[in-house]
Amino acid sequence: MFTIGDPLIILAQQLINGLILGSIYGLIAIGYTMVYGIIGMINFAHGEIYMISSYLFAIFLALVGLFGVSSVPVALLITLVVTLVITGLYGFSVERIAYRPLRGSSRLAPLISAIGMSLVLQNFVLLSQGANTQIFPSIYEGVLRWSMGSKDNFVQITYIQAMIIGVTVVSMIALNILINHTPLGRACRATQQDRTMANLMGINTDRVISLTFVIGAAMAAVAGMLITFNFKSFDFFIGFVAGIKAFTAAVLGGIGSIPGAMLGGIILGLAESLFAGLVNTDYKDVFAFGLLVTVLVFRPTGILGQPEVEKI
Amino acid sequence: MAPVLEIKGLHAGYGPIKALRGIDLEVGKGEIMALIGSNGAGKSTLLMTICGIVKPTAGKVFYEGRDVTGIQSYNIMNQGVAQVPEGRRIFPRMTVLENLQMGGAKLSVAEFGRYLSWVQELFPMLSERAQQLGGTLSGGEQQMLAIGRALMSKPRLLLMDEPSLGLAPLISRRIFAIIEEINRRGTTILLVEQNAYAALRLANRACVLSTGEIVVSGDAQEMMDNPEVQEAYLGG
Repeated sequence: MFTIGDPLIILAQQLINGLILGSIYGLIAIGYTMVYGIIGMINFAHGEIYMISSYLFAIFLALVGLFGVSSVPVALLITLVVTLVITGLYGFSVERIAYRPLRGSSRLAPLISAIGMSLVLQNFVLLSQGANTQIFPSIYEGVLRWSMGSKDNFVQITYIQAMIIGVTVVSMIALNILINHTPLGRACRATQQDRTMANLMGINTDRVISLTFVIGAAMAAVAGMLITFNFKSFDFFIGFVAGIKAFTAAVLGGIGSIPGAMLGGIILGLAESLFAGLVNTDYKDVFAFGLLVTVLVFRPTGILGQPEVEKI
Repeated sequence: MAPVLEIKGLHAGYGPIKALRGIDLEVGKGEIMALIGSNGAGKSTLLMTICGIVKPTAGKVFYEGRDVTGIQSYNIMNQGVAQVPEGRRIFPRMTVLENLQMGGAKLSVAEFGRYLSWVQELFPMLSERAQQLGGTLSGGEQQMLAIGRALMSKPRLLLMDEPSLGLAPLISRRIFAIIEEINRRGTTILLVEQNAYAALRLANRACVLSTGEIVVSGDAQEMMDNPEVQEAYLGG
């Protein structure tokens, strides 16, 4: 049967790990891709929104505990809702403060403003929360294990990792229903395809753009909460790397496409963890970005991206 | 009674370019008003300014007696104005049905059903191809979809920008027949056309726009007999 360190076992384990990492990338990538789709800018402050949601999650969970909610599921549920709302509010405010006043200016201006916003948010957290790594309590410990052959030879997934996959799937289904099957989602897609025409159809496109930022921030908050649960530690700088990776995922999948963002995230996560598990850990990022370059050579619009050609 | 649309001394432009230089125009209830003129005369700019997409630099726009100058575009459109814009501008990655739903977003379910069957009766193609993506339709079909989409919003004032542009003669004749039918049902229409002959035949009144100014206006039939108009726009 299998021996310890069998490549097949490692492969199976790394597939699971990659799927989990990919889910997180995908959730954050949604925010990049939706904002790009609708106003054609890269919201470089998006990674910080994800970072802030980790802090909010930990702070509100502590507060809820302080106010005497002793049941863990109830406390988590309250914290989840509050964190989603406040993170959404952050996304909304970032657009109102840093991007909306620049609407109609050159494409470079909001980009610079986004980088500025990213620095502001990072330093705001650094100053108000300190530079230390924050610790999150262990909740819902436990693993599911599948033994192969002998007792020491197994593939495992923690409860929390299983929850990451489950929550990601549910979030994606909810987002898909919202975008493809509701009047609100139709207004979003119309605004994305032709903003002037959407205006002419009586849609308040400013409100739609705000909504896009709120949805993107909420998805990043889901990712932030899940990752906090999983790693149990975070600091003010986690938004940077996660943001870059998620942005890569969005471009890989085809920026502007929501299924593309999710697919790009999963592919990036799988590529990274398979390379780390089977070849070399140090060069996993090189491999991930190399993959991006390779895909872009053959499909410049990404895997599911559509070239901007319209029939006249 | 106040005219459906009243424009007074309207100026608008893009930066230093002045596209409209003092337009005065009135469109009465139930009329078809034709707006003819050569390329770059400012016809499309005028429609976009009425809809609040282009902001006027001077002058006033009144819709059903209310001053709508400079208010947000979606506000104007939600008061019963619809536009069939130049180039059709249907939503290419939405199905035909979704495009129509965009038009009828403010209707109740029952009303939506009623208008949908009316629009599908006018253009049977729109029900046959309900699930097809808008971007895959031919030019003529896209034009029908653009008109259908505008009608779904139950407009009292319909602005149409070159509905016959680039269409085969047979299809453009059908489009003109349908414009007449829409008007017969009580919708006021402001029709921009390069095909001046067809537009004048359809319209009650007309005006000629040239470099941002109205140079001739009056009864459509009289315009057709006007030698100046004949020479410039009806090919002698």
